[in-house]
Order: sequence, then structure tokens, then C-alpha cells
Amino acid sequence: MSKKLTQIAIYGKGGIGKSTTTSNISAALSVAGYKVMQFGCDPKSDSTNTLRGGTYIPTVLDTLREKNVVKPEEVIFEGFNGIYCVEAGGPSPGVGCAGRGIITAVQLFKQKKVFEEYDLDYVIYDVLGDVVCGGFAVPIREGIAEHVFTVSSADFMAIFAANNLFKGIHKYSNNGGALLGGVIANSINEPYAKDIIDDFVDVTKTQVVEYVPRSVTVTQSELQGKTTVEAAPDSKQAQVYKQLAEKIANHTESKVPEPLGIEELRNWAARWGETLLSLQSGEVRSAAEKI
Amino acid sequence: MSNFEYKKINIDDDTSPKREDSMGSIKAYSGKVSELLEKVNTGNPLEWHNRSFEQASQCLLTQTVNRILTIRDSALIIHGPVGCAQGSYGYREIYRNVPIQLQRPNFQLNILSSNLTEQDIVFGGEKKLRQAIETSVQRYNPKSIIIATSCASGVMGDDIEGIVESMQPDIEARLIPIHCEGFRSQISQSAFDATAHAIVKYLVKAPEKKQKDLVNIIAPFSVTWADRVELTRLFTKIGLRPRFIPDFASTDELVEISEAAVTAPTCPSYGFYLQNALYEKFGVPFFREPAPLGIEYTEIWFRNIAKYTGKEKEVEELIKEEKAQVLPRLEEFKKTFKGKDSSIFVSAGQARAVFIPKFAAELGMNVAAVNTLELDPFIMEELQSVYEQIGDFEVHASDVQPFEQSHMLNRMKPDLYTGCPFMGLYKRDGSHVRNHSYRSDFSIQSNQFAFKGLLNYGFIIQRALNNPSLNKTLHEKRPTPYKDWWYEQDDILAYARQ
Repeated sequence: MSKKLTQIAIYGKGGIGKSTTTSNISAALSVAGYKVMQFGCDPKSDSTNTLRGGTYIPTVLDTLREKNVVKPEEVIFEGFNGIYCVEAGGPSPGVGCAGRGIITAVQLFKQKKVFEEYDLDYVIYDVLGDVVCGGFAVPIREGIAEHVFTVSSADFMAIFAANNLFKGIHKYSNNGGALLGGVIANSINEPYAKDIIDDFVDVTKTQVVEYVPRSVTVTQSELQGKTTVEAAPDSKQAQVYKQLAEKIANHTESKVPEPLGIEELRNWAARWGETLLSLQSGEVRSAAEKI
Repeated sequence: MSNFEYKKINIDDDTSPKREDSMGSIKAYSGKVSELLEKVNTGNPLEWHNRSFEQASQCLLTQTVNRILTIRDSALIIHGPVGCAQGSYGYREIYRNVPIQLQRPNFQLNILSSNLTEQDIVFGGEKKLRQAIETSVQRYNPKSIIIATSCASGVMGDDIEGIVESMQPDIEARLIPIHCEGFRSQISQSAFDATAHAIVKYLVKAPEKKQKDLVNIIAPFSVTWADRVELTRLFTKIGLRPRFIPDFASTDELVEISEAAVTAPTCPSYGFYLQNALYEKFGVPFFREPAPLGIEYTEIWFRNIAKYTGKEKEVEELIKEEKAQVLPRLEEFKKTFKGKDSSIFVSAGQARAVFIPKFAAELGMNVAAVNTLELDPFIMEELQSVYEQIGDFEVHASDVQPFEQSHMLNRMKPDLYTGCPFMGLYKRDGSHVRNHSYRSDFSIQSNQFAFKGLLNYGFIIQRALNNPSLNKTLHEKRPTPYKDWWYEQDDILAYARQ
């Protein structure tokens, strides 16, 4: 197979819409004719649910726990439009080492040359929020993903998580690690939310790939166990995802971001806090909720 | 004296704090003892130095395992990947060498590894640990099951206490978890504290009665079999029962050490925490110093024990009898001692690091330097008294760094180097002698404790001084292991920075 495999990792704070975004990107790439595998790297193992009608699939680590030797076909499941779905899985909450689990699962696939065998165009890793330890940094380390995108809202905690990811990327950037493609700005409906994200990418020397608005279509689709691209292909929201997928498909050059230091980040957040307060002094509560 | 502030043990905690925190111990030092004491006496803590290069180091797990595995009627589970248990059974061969006639108890070493694999690291080691505990019950029917943790179980945070608590009601054997994760402390002697903490917390029972004739004796690696035989002889003479703890004690014996009259020291580094824990939890009194090394220290040691056992009369009798035997021979020995005005370099644990210089000075030798494995603040008082008796000498602390000691030997060129059995070998043109042996050595010369021990030690010093030819020849014929650059460095702690 002469075609080039592109591996992409998508990170973001838990609950920010990372799996939703990833699954829609996978679906849109697949609809555009690419062969895609989505690799969920989260012990919750629900990354690929909306690609498979809302159902859970056996994870790599669960299978490994029972059998000691795992064949790729035992943990790869086809989903919407022939997308290959894999969940790394992990230990029960509170025991073991989830980070080591990611390492084990990803290495298994790498060693067995699964990606080459399945003749893929894209592997998309959907990785649990913060880069809390070495294991969760595996997809951005040498020889795995090339490009990293981070999903973030204008919520400060989400931005903190993104900044941490940038630190991880920065660390591995000299050793052949993945570089940053940009930020996927999620749930961007208010003008100030766009301003915050724009300012953040500006100070960290990166870019926004796409602004994805919050939409009820997404919720409706997910309640059916589907991605928006599958359930409402003609909706405005699906168009946004398709546009995002196209940008990712055309994306070639990623960069090393310049993460903010802890103090810088605090000051940056404080400045925005003041700005927002003065902006909406009549509605302090709702503004505080949004940020 | 030093501003070392003793913090009480919290026995309800899962384990002991590391020595860096609990005491402010250090593992790198170089300087005159006068300078060290002046700093400490004016209220300064010992200064911590990190080495950017270490030739060797010790691990908390091995420091635990190679001592604790001799507890009789026990099974030892090393909760980690199988490699963490490597070498453990090697000790079996060593202990089997001790003849039965010398009171070696007939017992087996029962050691298991929980054999953590990749899956276990991901999903947690609980299942394997439970299996290992069940297996050890089935295989060995032990009275105690000691669980030594590893780096792997520590990193993933296995809930050892939870597992122990849930299994203990159904298991007759006492479960004793020891937190000796290798990475936990830079001072590997922290493992001694963790071991003592676990034994006192999980195994030793509250005293039902007091046993006035029972004396706990701290007995780590450096108390040889011959030391045990000799000390047992002396204790029997005065109607007391020595109980060497914890090494080679049976599980049942350890259970009742809370009933002892006193806990006597041999090695402050090993015994510090165990003495404190037994005192704070069960009120077993103790004295910290001295170790029974040399005539004077041995006398004080026995008189201290007499205070707690009411054996003052017997002890005075013993001292008289033993001295009557030993002193004439000591005087004879001193006459024939040919090492006068020779210099000695002492590399030893802290008990011997204060005793050997004192004894050597008594024999007319100059003390060039003393190297200890670590420096704990509680040893400063004893160093002070040695300093007052014999004057200044260099103190060096290194946790197995042969290159630093080699540097010192090259500079000082002492006539005699006396070192621990586990402190490495150095190229030297003077004599060399091992200043003590280890636990399973039953040869008579390996007895250095108590009255006769002094003679034994004197003889091996003399023998070494009389015959330096092996080292001289090796020094001439063999290349040096280090480049000249290293020997030209002024500062032996070139690799250690604050």
C-alpha cells in the first residue's frame, strides 16, 4: 500500500465534547472517502459509542486481561460507514495504572503493524483530557501521532488543560514527537467566547482550526446513538464538522506551541475575568457560569 | 548539642516517614569532624547534598528483604515483578553453613514473588497479591506473612492495607505489610524504619505480663553468628535471656518482645526506630548507646541492662570475671602490637564508626578518617565524645561510593584500611581488613561484640598490619581503576551539590 497513513491525536478536558467532535471528524472523513480508525484512549471506553449505535465494544485491555494474547480482529469493530473502532480501555476506577494501560494498548497495535494491515488513511486517537502522566502522552510521543488537535471551550479549566497539553507537546517536540495542528474551539456561541479562545491561541502561538457552535442537533443525534454527520447529514452542524474534517485532511504543517507558565496563565485568566465582569456587570452570575 | 528534634512515631500510619524527613539524615559529607560538630553544635542541620554521579546505591526493598527473610515460621512475599525477588534464595545457602551445633535453628526460607506482569500493572496488583497470600498459606502454613512492596506496586498505588485488612480475619498467620518501595527514599536505611514500623504495628502484641529476664537485642546484618553465641553465653551467665530481633527470631518470639525488660542497642542506625516504636507503643524501655564494642562500652552496656533487669550484682560479677580473662591478654596483645603510630581509615556503620577510632587510638594508632554509610543526627553526640577523646579526624559519608573512598585512600595513604563487607574494594598500598563480618559468619574471629570480641578485633588488625604484601603487590602490579584526573580533584564531593 503506497498511500500515506496520517495519525492524529485529539486531546481535551473531560466533558468538553472531545469524543463527540472526534467521532464527527471520523464520520466526516469516512464520508469523504477515507479509511479511518478511531482509537479511544480513555478508561471510560465510550469514545466510539456514537459510531456504533450507542453500544460499547470490548476493549483491548479487557481482552488482554482475559487472554494474554490479543489478535487485532478481536478488538477492532466496524462502525458507521466502515470506520474501524477501537477502545484501549483501562482498569476500574481507583486501581492499577490507566497510563500504563494506554501504553500497552497502543504498543500492541504498533508492534502488530495493525495500521498498515488495515490499509488506513487516518488513525484518530481520542485521548482523555489532561496529560496527567507519561501514559497519556504516548500518542504524542515519537512515532505515533503526527498532528495533535485540542478541543477546548472558552471555559478556563478547559484552557488550562489545553495549556498542559501544549507543555507535553513542547517537551517531546525535540524527539520526533507530534506537533500541534491547532485548537478546535467547541461550544462557541457567545462573542466573548470566541475572543477568549482567539486570545489564547494568539499568546501560545497556535491557531483555531474551526469554531464549533453548541447545537441541539448534536444532542438529538447522540440520543439516537449516532454522530451528527450520520444522523443529520444535511444539518448546519454537520456542515461545520465536514468543514473541520476537510481542514484536518488538508492540514500539513503543525508547530510547536508556546505554552504559558503557571503565573502567566493565572494572570492571563485574571485579566479575562476582569474584562468579562466589566463587560456584563449586570449579569455577573450567568457570565460566571459560562466561563 | 545538636538541634535534632525527635518526632514521635505515629504507629497508626501505614508506614514510617523517610529519614530525610523524620531526622534530616544525609548521605554525602566530607570534612573534619571538628567542623561537622561545630556546625551541628551551633544549631545547623546536616546539609543535604545530591550526587550527580553515583557509582552504586542501595534499594529499600533489598535492605528490607535481606534482613526480614530470616524471621522464622514466616513466608515473605515480594509484591512486585519477579526481578525484585532476585537473589533472595541465595541467602539460604549462606545460612545453611551455620552448624546446627552452634544453635542454628532448623528452618526454611519461604519466599514468593507476586510476579506482577504488564496486565497487573494496568489493572492493579490486588489479585496477584491475594493469590500470593493464599498460596503461601497453602504451601508453607506460616505463622506470619510478610509483604514487601516494590516500586511497581507503589507507582500504581495498590491498596496493600485494604487487602491485608480484608484477608486477615480469615487467615491465622499475621499479615505484615512493609512499605519499602525502592524510590521512596534516598537514604536506604529508611527501610529499617519501615520494617520496624510494620513489625511493631502488625505483629507484636500488647504485653500480657512482663518478662524480667528477657532482653531484646537489636540484631541486624552486622551481628555475626559468633557474636550471638558469645552474647548468649554472657547473658546465660547472669541469668538473662537474650532475644535477638528481628533477624532469626521466630514469629512467636517477636510477638512477645513487648514483654521484654529492655531493648539493648548494637547498631543505632538499624535499631533507632524499633527501639522507639517498642517504647512508645508498649513501654519497653531502651538505651541508645553505646554498642557493646570494646571493654569500656561493653561494661556500660551491661550495666545499663542491669538497671532494667535488676541484675546489678550479677553484671558486676560478670564484668569482673570477663575482664580478669581478657585484660591480661589485652595487655599482652598491646605489647606485641606492632601498629603503633600507624594510621587507620575506618569505613563502617555508625556504631563501629565511633568505636573503632576509639579503640585504634587506645592501641596507639592515628585515625586518618572515618567513613559512614549515612550520617544521622542522633550519632553526633557520640562523635563528639570520640572527638574529645582522640582529637580531630576526617569524616566522610557515602552510601557505597568506592570512588570517593579511593580518592581519600590515595590522598591519605593510611597503613590500614578497615571496611564494611559491603562497601566495595579499593586499590590501596596499605593493609586491608574487613572490620566486621555479617550475620551467618560463625568463625571465632567474626565475634567483635563484648569483652572477647575486642581481642578478636585486635588480632585481625594486627595480622593485617603485619602482612601488607598482598595489597602492596596488587597496588604495584595492577592499573588504577580511575583516571588521574579524579585523584587530582581537590574536592571529594565534586559530584555532590547542595
